[in-house]
Amino acid sequence: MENNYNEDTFLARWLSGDLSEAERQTFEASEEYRAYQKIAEASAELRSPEWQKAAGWEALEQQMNPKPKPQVRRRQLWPYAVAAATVLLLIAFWFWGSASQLTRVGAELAEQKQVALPDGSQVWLNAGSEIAYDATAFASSRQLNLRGEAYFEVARGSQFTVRSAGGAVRVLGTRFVVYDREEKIEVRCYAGKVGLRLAAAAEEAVLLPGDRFWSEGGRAIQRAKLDPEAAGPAWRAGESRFDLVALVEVIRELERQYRIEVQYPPELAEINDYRGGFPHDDLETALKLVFSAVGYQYRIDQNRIEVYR
Amino acid sequence: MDNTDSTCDKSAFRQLYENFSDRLRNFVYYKTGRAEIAEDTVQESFLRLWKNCASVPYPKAQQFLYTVAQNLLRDRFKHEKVVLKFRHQHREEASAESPQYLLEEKEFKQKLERAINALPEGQRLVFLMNRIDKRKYREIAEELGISQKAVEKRMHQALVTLRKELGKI
Repeated sequence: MENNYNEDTFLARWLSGDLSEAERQTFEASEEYRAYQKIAEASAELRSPEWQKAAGWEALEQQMNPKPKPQVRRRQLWPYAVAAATVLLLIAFWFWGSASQLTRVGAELAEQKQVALPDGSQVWLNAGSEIAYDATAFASSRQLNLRGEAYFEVARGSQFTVRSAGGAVRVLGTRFVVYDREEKIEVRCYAGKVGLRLAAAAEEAVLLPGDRFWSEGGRAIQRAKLDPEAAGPAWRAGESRFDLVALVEVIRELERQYRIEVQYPPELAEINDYRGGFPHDDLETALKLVFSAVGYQYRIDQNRIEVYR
Repeated sequence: MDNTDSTCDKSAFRQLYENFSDRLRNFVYYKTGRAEIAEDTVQESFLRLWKNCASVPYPKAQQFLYTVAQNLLRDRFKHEKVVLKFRHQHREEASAESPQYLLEEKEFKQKLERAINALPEGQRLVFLMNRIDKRKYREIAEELGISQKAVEKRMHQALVTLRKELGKI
């Protein structure tokens, strides 16, 4: 090299326009200049691939909102009311801002819904669940956000990602369930191969057909096997089934499937090895199956259920 | 965005995401070559910032995000070969050129991409943060927590290496 541009920051300074006039003129007259100029120009035209910025915010916001705490103080309410109204307005604005880019589909309480995604994949939403995705980019990105529980039959193709508050689930073509409610994330794999990464962890756990992985409160993943006879979740066929779960989780599912509210004695919250299920079309039978099995009785008062010993 | 804003203020936080998430995402992408890891890392980093918002002043938020992102990745992808995919911005005048010229341009771009992928990580980061994200050396130095002189050295070295790899231009 005949020039002094082997000095260790020379080309960096050339690129940022920080050479002295004399240095610049010498360099521009050199043989090498044209080659570097071409690298500089071509590299300035590079762009990184598109990404799901709006969907990312949406998923982030989901995780940012803590559960509301009950309000007990009772003095000077109106300043709070003004503040609350402002906050609501802002939230409505953000919600609308992101909603304008995302397609949302939800299943109400006591309802299930089947959704066809733009790439041909099918989703069944269980009661009280919602998905959101960017319809225009979906065919290429195959990403969606989930609140609640859904069963997926993913069309073959590139990676398919389900994000939820508790983590991210990635698959190629396969059939699986993601459940994410109240600090618990659970994935059940019926076919293909599924990767589960908890929001709090760096590592990915891989599920094979028949695997059921879950994590509560961000703790380490627990593993079990599915009923080998099951080709998909029982709730698609009109009943809910549970294998060694907390009874409270079963009660919440009853509430969602029947649009009811269950009041139960606190000691029931300690049962965490419930095994069984209930149908979705017969409340009496459902209540009997769940509560008689653990030795409790119940009273029905319209849509309120009281459980007692 | 005013530097006196609190990181815990949700609209300020949202603004931070709007302004900064692209760069953070690109940063992780340049490091790992893995788009999905990059998006997850952005989300997790911002979430950790939110949880620690009271102790991170707004002007320090970007640095905090970079630090978290780097910690999350640790050395997980250090030894993996990265394959970055780029989009090329089209130049209008290119359409008037001869097919021969266009072909050569295309080959040149492919060679350039391969050469960028083969750069050592430190050089690749600095080079792409400058070329794609248009960051100044001083800004890159702050973001990576190294001196501006070190950034300029890496940039110079990256150009020398690319030039060598590309051969006759």
